Amino acid sequence: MSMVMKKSIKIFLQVVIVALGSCTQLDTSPRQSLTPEIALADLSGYEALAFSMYNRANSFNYYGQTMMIAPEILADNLRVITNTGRYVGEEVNADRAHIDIWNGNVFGGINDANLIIEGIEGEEVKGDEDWKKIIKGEAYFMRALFYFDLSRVYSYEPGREVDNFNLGPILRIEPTTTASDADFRTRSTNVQVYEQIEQDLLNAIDLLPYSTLGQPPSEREFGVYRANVGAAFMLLSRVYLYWGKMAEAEAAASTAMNILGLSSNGTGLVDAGSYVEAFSTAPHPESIFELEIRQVDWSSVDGVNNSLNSLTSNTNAAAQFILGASNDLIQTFEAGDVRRNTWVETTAEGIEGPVYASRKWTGFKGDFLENLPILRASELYLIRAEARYETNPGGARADINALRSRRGLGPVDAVLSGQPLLNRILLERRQEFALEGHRFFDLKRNGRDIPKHGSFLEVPYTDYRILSNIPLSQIELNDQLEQNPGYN
Amino acid sequence: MKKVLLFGLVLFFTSSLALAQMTVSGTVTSSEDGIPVPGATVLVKGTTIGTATDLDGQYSIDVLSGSDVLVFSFVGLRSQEVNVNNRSIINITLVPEITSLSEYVVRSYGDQTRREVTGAIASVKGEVFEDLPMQSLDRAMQGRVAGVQVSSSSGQPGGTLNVRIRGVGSINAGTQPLYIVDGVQVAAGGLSGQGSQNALASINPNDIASIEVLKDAASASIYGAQAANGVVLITTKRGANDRTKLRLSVQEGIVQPMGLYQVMNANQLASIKRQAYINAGLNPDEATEIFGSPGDRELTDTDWVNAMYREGRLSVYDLSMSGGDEKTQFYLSGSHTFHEGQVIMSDYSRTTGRLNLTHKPTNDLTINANIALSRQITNGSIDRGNFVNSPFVSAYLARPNVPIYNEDGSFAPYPNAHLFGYNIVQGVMQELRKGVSYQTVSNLQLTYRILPWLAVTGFAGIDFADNKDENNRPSTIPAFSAYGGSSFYSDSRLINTNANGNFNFDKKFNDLHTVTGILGYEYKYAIDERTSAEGRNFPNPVLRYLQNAAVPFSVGGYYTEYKRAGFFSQARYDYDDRYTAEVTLRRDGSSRFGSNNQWGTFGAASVGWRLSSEPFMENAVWIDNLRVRASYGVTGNSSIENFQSRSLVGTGGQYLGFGALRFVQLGNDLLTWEESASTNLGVDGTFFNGRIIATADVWRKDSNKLLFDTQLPIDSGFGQITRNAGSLRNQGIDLDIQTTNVVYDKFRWSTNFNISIFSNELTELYEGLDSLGTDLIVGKPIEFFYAYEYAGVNPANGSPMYLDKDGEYTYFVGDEDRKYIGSALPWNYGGLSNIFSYGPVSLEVFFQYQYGNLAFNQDLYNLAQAGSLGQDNQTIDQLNFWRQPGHVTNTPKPYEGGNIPGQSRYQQFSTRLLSDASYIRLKQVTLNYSLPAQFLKKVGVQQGNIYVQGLNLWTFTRYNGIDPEVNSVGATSLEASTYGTYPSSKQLTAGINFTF
Repeated sequence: MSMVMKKSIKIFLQVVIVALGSCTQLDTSPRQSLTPEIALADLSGYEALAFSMYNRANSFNYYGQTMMIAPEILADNLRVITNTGRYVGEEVNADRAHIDIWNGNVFGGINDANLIIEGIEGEEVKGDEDWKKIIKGEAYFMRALFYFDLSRVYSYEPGREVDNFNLGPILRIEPTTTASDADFRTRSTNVQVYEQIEQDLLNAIDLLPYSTLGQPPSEREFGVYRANVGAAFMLLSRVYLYWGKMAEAEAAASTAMNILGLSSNGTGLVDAGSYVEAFSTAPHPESIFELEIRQVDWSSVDGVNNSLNSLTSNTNAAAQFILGASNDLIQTFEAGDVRRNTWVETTAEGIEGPVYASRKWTGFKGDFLENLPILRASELYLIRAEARYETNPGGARADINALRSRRGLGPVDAVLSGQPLLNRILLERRQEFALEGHRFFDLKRNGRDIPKHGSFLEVPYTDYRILSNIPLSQIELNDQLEQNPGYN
Repeated sequence: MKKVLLFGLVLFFTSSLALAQMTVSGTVTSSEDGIPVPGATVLVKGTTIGTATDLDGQYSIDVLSGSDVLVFSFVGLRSQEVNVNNRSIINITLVPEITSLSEYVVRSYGDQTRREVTGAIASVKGEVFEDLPMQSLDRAMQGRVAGVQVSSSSGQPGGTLNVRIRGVGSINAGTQPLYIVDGVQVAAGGLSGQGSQNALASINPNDIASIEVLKDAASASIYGAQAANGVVLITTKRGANDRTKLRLSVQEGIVQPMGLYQVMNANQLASIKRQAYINAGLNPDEATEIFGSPGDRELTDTDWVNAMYREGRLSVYDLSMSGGDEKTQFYLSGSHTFHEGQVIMSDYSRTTGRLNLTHKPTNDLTINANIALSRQITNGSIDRGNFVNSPFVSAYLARPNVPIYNEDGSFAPYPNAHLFGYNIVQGVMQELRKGVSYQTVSNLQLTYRILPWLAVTGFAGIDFADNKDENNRPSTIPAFSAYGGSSFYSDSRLINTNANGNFNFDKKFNDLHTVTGILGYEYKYAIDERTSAEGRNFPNPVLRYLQNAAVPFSVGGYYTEYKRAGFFSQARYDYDDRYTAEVTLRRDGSSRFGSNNQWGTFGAASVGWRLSSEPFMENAVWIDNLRVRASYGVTGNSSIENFQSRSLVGTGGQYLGFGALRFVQLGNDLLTWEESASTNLGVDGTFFNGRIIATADVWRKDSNKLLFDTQLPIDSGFGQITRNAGSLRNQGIDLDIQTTNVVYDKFRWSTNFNISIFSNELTELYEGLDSLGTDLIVGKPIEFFYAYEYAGVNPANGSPMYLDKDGEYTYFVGDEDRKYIGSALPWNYGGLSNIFSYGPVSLEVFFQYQYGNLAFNQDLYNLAQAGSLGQDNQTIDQLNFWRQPGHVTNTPKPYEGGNIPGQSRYQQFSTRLLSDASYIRLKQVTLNYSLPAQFLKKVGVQQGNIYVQGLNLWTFTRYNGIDPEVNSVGATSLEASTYGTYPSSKQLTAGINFTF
């Protein structure tokens, strides 16, 4: 080997070693994520956070499935047609078979909202000031919705406490951005949480834009797929109703009806002939707040595995169809009630007699896909009727009749009042919102025992299973977190 | 030559010795200077009988017959083979090996070769596992190395394994060792998203010369970062300055299931379901409508399990060539393996090629290049998880009164109400799940000797894997027909590079003091990248490529990277082959940690004393070698996600077509290295002329500053944050004994036995906590079962009973009634190998075992619920259900829905489904016949063997499932997926090999 070659190899080795030695930098970048400083430097970052709140609301362990189905099967509206293990415990109100939303999805949504509320109006955040206010309003609205749901699942409504147990969820209204923010907290009282929800909705009303019923989004308008003033008033009226603040509930409902162009005779609601079809329309013509879902939100098997359509309907040949209307529910419908038509009679292997498949969740967007109407205008009539029934039974009857006129039915008994009137209102709610996640909560907030279909045993209101259990892992982690009574 | 020799003094490695018919003795000298060579190996060719020369280069060895061939070898010198020819004295002169420099100077880093060690090192030679039909090198260590626990995480052919060296050293950070193949730090783990595919299987085990396991800090700390879990060094074969040799090996065999659950036939299921309906107050006619009438002899009776399992084929072909001259040596090999699974449509194939080259252009320069390529294809099954399209779940659960096929031979529709309407046989036959990976583990190394005692080395290596996964779900399967079928493709790339430069020195003073050392720098960079796409609605089920998809359904992808840099040094002093001391220091930085906490310093010190070289031991002739050693050191662990120290805002999906962002991780800028401090006391001995060779180590490993995913209250919006918190202690004893028990005439019996006894204990949590819920408890091992205690069935009414927290019988259990049941970690494990030979015939019988761990069998969570769960078929033992008051049984009464009002649900995480997963397995039996040399010579063959062997032939266990091994990864909760795991298989093969 020549000297030249020897030299060049020596040089090569020296270069290798020097190059390696100088190479101590360890900079890497997480190319698919951002640091908080970059992500939240401008308005678009905060708006992306707002989209995260809505996205979370769509998940199957929240409105995407649990919040729609569990309140129905925990009460008397649904039955299990096929035992796949799902909702079997809920049907018999088994221990700990309840609604589980004490999770990172709902609390993560609250943290998204907290981040927006605290940060979006900062001077360093680049972007249009008016737009910032709107997004902040959305955050208030969604935080109110998250806390309202946590309250009705884990707490007694104020004034309806059993054994004076008055704890609500843990309240956090500042964002968690460091580990020290994630301190251990005690549960607030139910009233404290309701006051916060009320305040959030009032703040939202000041900031949000308007939308009309069933308005699809356009260039500069959200429509009903994002929070709006009408939705905030409507949710506020529902919150007051749960809270037992009947005058406030009536006022908020009336305001919402005015904003949305709903008259006392029912004008503004869909007519009877369109009731069923309205559920296969996007957005639902009665929606004031509706969550939009797209195929990309689901993994390839989520449609058949988890969608409302697959679980409750047989419109798709591959559907599971494991849940149908209880016979009790079907029997409550009066002749001519178009709401009966959201159930189709069919048969199932191993079940004697007919079973009923839903035509509310029809998967009309294809592949089991559809939107989720969360706040529907007809509820305003029922909220106001319930708020009025003790003080103004005539007005209550008028509200019921306005709704009934849109459902193919005549007016109710003109002297109906007191408990029978309330029973009628709850029955209308049961029929109107079957499979929309109201039934269990409507009974619970009125302190009623939970009736069951068939031979399943009724759950007394004083039974511990009225409230859900907080996950054991959280109880074990946080000494200050008190479990609901009866769960130990 | 002098230096080679001196280094050789400390290269006194031991092999089996034996007594036999005749003794051959002599002296081994070096041709370079005529000096005797101490520590040279003398082996009887084709056996494990061997010895080493003493300090005067003298040896004495017993051979079986006068026609045996002796192989003399020594590092730095070229091996020689000599026919004994009935001589009793054979003196040999060895000539320098051309590769001596490379083998000699790079000993400490990259190519670390066997050497006199003061740390705890165990090794497995390639011959031990040559021609065994196993796909990956990690499997080769199973049961053969004390202190190394190897268990399958899947029985899928070519699947991944779980390797733990000396206990479990971390809670949340990785516990797998660092694998280094010829200096290349390779990524272990799975390659494919469609089933289990082992990245380490890219190395053909037949190409491996030896596997060395560095168990303690003293031996591993030169690798600083990642060394906390131990290091596995793999050295592949190299050529020699010799004539060209060709080796051909062919093996064919069959694969069978080791066992299957026995499930009910149609009448049995109909009968238990009828009872379940009656007991639950339901109309039994409704059960009959679904399951048929229990007494109906005409009932369709489908054996889904039989339709799913099969006897598979197994073929292994291997061809290698090696040789060279003074300047250049090579090793060239190719192999092909095809291995069908025990489940239909499941198979694995691998093709490998390798070229190892050494070239020495001048006396001072050595160039080494290793180039290896492989292709692995995994076809078929989901390897674990509770999925309806998994054969390990649905074949057992499917209703026997539903047919697989229509009369015309087409697939029959399965009822929608069960298993999502999934006909599992159709699903497995028609769904394509395929992972194809191409991989190379290659390197280039240059070593230049600057001075006689100083050399410099530059090394660069790459582990590059390209994987393409395909999952096609044709519309012919009803579950996928609604959207016209789907095809999912993903492409991923793993790029792992490491480079180092180092100086080596080696100097001897006054013939007594030897000082060696190394100083170097290393850099590592790894990238993991993936892109995926799914399309739907294909006009014809035969079409499966994305351009035919009418609907572009979804896209996905990710990118992640990390970097690591380290400075390392090691110095070693040896006095007269009696006293040895070694110090290692290493400083490493990792991009994974907080910007101010990236760097950590690790190191170790060790000492050794060879008692047998002391003058006062000269009279103890029965001691061939006796050495004690002690070490202490600290190594690091950084096996966490690449960006775990940072607060990250990542994707939150979409809403209204706009991308959503959210905080996906709460960062911790203080995050730094997890440390493991280990102490090792060891003794190595060879006694009675090599009849007994033993190594024993007592060790303790304290892991501190654990990279711990500490829980945050979920109401904060975050579930956890990674912190350095908590401590763990692993301690134990490793024992390895090789004995030659009987040598009589041509008969010979030798035994290799190893056992590891260890304990694992969580010594500290954080913030003074003594438990973390029921996940972790201070004073207990980190993997255990905390469950309800099942108390059998009440003979009075058939209800399942439990013992509550006060030890009272109850039907209804709450959170407080759960108890600590036992550890999921075995407290001892090991292997036992016996080799019997008689002339040309040899028989190896190898057992592998582990003892003392419990396992929860999730399969039974659905399969063994007394016929109470919807339409799920049940194991046949559930027919022993409670029938009438007074009936004593362990299986409750069938109760449709599995929930008697006022009682806990049947499906509980209770001791009913827990069992002792200790096992002893007859892992391998090989019967080998060496073909007569005279006959072979006539056909131009040097050596030939014909053999039959079996793997996993027999298992003794009380485990309540199919394979205790795949369930032994220590799952502690229901979330961990030990559901429907692909069990190991039994393999029977016959093979032949020739060396030309």
